[in-house]
Amino acid sequence: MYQKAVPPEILGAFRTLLLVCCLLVGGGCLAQNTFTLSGKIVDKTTSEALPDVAVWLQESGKGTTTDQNGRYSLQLPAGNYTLKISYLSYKTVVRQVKLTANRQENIHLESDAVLLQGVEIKGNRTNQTARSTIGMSSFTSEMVQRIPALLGEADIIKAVQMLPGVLMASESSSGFSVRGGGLDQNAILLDKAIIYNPTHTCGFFSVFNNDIIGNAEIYKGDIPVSYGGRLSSVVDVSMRDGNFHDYRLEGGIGLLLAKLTVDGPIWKDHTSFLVSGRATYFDAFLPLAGMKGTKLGFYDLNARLVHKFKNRKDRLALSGYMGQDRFGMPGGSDIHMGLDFGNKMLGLTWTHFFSNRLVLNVNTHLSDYLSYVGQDAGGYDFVWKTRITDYAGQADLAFTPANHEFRTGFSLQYHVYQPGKLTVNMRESLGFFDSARSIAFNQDRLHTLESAVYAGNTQTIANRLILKYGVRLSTFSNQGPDSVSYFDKDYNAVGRRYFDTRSFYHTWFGFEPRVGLAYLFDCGLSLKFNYSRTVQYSQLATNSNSGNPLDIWFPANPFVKPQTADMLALGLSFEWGEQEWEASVEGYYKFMHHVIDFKDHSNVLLNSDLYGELRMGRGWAYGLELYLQRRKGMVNGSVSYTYSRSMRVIDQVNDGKAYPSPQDRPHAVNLLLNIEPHPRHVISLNWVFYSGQPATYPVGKAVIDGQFVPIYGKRNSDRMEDYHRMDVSYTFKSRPNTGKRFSWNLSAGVYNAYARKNPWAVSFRQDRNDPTHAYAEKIYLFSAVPFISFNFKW
Amino acid sequence: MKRTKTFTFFVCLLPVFLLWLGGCMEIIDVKLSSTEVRLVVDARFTDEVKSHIVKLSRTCDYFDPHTDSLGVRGAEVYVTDAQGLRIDFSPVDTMPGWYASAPDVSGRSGETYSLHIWADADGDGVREYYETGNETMPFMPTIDSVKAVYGYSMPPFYTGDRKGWNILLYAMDPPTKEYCGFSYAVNGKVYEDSISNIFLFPDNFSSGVYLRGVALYCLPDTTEVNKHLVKVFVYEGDTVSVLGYSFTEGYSNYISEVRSALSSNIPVFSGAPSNIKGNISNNAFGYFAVYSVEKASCIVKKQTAPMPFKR
Repeated sequence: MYQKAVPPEILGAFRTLLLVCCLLVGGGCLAQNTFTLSGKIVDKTTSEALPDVAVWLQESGKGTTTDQNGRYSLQLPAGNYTLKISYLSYKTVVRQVKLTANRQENIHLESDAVLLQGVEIKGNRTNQTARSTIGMSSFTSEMVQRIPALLGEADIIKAVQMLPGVLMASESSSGFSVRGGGLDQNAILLDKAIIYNPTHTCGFFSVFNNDIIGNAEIYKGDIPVSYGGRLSSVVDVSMRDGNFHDYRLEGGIGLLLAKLTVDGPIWKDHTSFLVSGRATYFDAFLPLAGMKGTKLGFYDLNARLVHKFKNRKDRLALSGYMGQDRFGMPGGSDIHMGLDFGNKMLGLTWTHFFSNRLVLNVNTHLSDYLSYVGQDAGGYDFVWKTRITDYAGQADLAFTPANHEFRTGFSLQYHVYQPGKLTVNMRESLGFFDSARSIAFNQDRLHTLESAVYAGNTQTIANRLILKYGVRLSTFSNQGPDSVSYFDKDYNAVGRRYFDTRSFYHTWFGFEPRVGLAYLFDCGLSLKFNYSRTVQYSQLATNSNSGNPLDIWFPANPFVKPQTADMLALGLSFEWGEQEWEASVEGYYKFMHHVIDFKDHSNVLLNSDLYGELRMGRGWAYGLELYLQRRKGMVNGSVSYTYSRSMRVIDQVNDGKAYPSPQDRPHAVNLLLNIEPHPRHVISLNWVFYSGQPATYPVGKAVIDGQFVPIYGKRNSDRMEDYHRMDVSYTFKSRPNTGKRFSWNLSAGVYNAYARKNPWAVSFRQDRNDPTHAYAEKIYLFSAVPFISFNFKW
Repeated sequence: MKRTKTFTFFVCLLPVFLLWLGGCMEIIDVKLSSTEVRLVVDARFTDEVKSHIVKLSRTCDYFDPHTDSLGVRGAEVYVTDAQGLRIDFSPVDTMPGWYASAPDVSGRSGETYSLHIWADADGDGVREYYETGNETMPFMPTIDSVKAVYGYSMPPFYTGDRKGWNILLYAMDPPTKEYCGFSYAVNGKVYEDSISNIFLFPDNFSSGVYLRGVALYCLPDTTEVNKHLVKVFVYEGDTVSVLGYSFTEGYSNYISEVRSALSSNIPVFSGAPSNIKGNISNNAFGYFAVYSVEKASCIVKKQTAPMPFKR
């Protein structure tokens, strides 16, 4: 029989396909004739599940990590194994296991920290997740605790800002830019609910009370498919559960802020509660500074209630957050002015364990951000407010058979935007109107529905090759009643269309594929590659470079396309010396499409047609991040260097030519150093360096009515002085291992220790005394700021 | 006198707070780039019968102190109306760069005007041509009267923290959108009419409403504490006038943009600095403003009624 020869290129392709198929099903093949070793890892004291704990087999060097519920699972041939469980801030457990059948091995880890004060991010860079995930960053808990913070309040957002590739927006701000992205491109979540303004007191503090944080994950690149809605990063913070066995009390008091947390069982081993509050008392000191009548400060409250059902398969968690900032000052006689803003969140999560390998999480929550400005002047008053409210639900199913971690789910978010509402009440007593009257000025309230379905898998092949693949399909629908302005390509208004009914009149679709690949070498080296697409449908209308509480969130609509980003990243990391040292290099290139900026001299506040102020364009960013960390030893810490650029091209801005974005700061260095000569004494130091902030300086002037009117050159073609700052702190702890329940620590330090006058803004002014003369003036916010705080735990 | 504008006061709140927290200012050395020399036009043409002025100058480096020599001489300046009537402007000998019309010239509300300039701004010996499109002179709403009342400074444009003569305006605010500005004169001398301190009246909340005595100004008497800041004191017997201007939307925006450029650049509330757009061709800087003017006066009389707004 005659047989036609197969062309060699087809044969080659077939072999490749066969190899890929073998690899893909390889996990399944390996799983045959093996037993399952599974279990749960919990904190010995609190019985809290510990996620991301590394579980290793000493014989083979293979291992896995626990999932969000503290569960792990390994498929192994019969035999004797030495199981090593290590986790930062916990004592390492080594256990001999004889595997002759499927076996469950639950492990209780004992904390080795005397006092876990400050932010604790339970994520261990040594674990397999971090080794295989590009751009997923985690700190050791101790490093974050010891980052000297402004006014002594340890803060997770400040910790995030120390990561390579993350830039603080401006001095002391809680806003940040990730890999060249905008300040509104970070999803900041508290128990899955979006926190639209994560700041207190103009950004000096974040809304995250470090005493209630249970777990925090920060993704700046390889964003899992279960997250969406923002282009650049995810900061997912979960509150911790209250203690199921004992009542606990912890608190602290500093120069300007006090806090207290109580938690414990309601029904032992089944139901626990946690309540925590923080409040400032700046106001009390203001009269001393001659500011009588001025209000300034914030409070916030967190609460969490968790119930574990007797069937050990179900768990319910109710969590809430409420925070409020206040700022007011007297304006003379009967006049009072004020600016208040705050976030609220209420969420309910049901977790159901079908088995060790199949877990369902259902979450529903409400999130609300409201800011308002008011004045009461006796004769009249006015209130201006902006608000955004989310009603959201999410279901997530995780299936973890051997060598796979499959995740699928969907989410729905109904957003209600109120861009601006001004109410003015004129009273008869004022006299200049004919009669008392109220005037309301409303920007249209907007309603949208954002939904997504996703599916993804993380597949481990032969414990070396890790493949990640998944897709997120999202939609964003605008709902009436609404009026939409349409503009031509030169942004001239060409018409307005009214949608009267409550039906959805327009929908955007988003296709968000995300793939990754990691290869783990025995020597501790891992090579990672990742591609991700993200879509963002809501953005912040801000006229400023650093953000403020009056910024308005607004949605994509038929005129404004959703922003999208495509990012390619490549990374190499290396661990050595019993995971004591780690070094990594990551590079990325990011394309951003339909980027939004505001036209020159735009008016965001009280503008009934905000969309007419927008200009669209594109952006791109690239960078290289180098990181070195030492986790143990008397002197430990990390150092990172980032080279990055971030550019934009926006219609009608800078004559349509490319310009550096406000986040373009090519060189950034972060240094963290902890010196622990004795278990009771810790000295911490951090040093930050950024290239100067891009700025637009005048290149000339016109003289009008004797005033110097500046003429500017290209957008952001100048730079302010470089930013650098050193903070130091010293912590003195109570005696360790005394067996006493009460422990304490006392921290003191200095923010900006060498009193660098970092520019916050640069202004150009005409000299009043000599009007022919002009000068440049910088504003700096802080010189050296000392702090002291006392924290205790009982 | 410092004015606290109620509806925009919150723009000042956060910077005040931030600076209070320890912020300071320091003069720094900055090396600035240069740019090409451009013509600067400051031209105002109104319905008043008077000699109207067009000021021509050049741009220069921001730190260049030689601003006296910026005037552009030897230019040809004229205004035309829709009928092609030409109004010539002649150089003013004593003021380099100033060009004045004849003293009996006036514009008319509803009429359109355009400005034409032949001038050598770049100093190459050749005159370039600059012009504007047609600018229509808006109508000015009638001011019924003004009145001076002594007392604490009154809202909504003042916060009641000082005493003086409140200058009250009585006028109908038409239901349409106007871009009105105000300045004042005491005994015939005009104050606060420059681009940086002319009062742009926000009519967002009073359109279609009769303004029954809204306090536009609070002019100090001798009890004023910060005397060095005071431009003029007002006494009984003085004549106080309010000058109302009806600007075009374009000129009103231009004034706002100039003011924004003159103010401090505070990150929390400032976007990236942007160049100001005028209405002159050929890359010139500046504006040909066409507006109508209305004036109302009163004599300051001894106060007999109680003060209208008490502490």
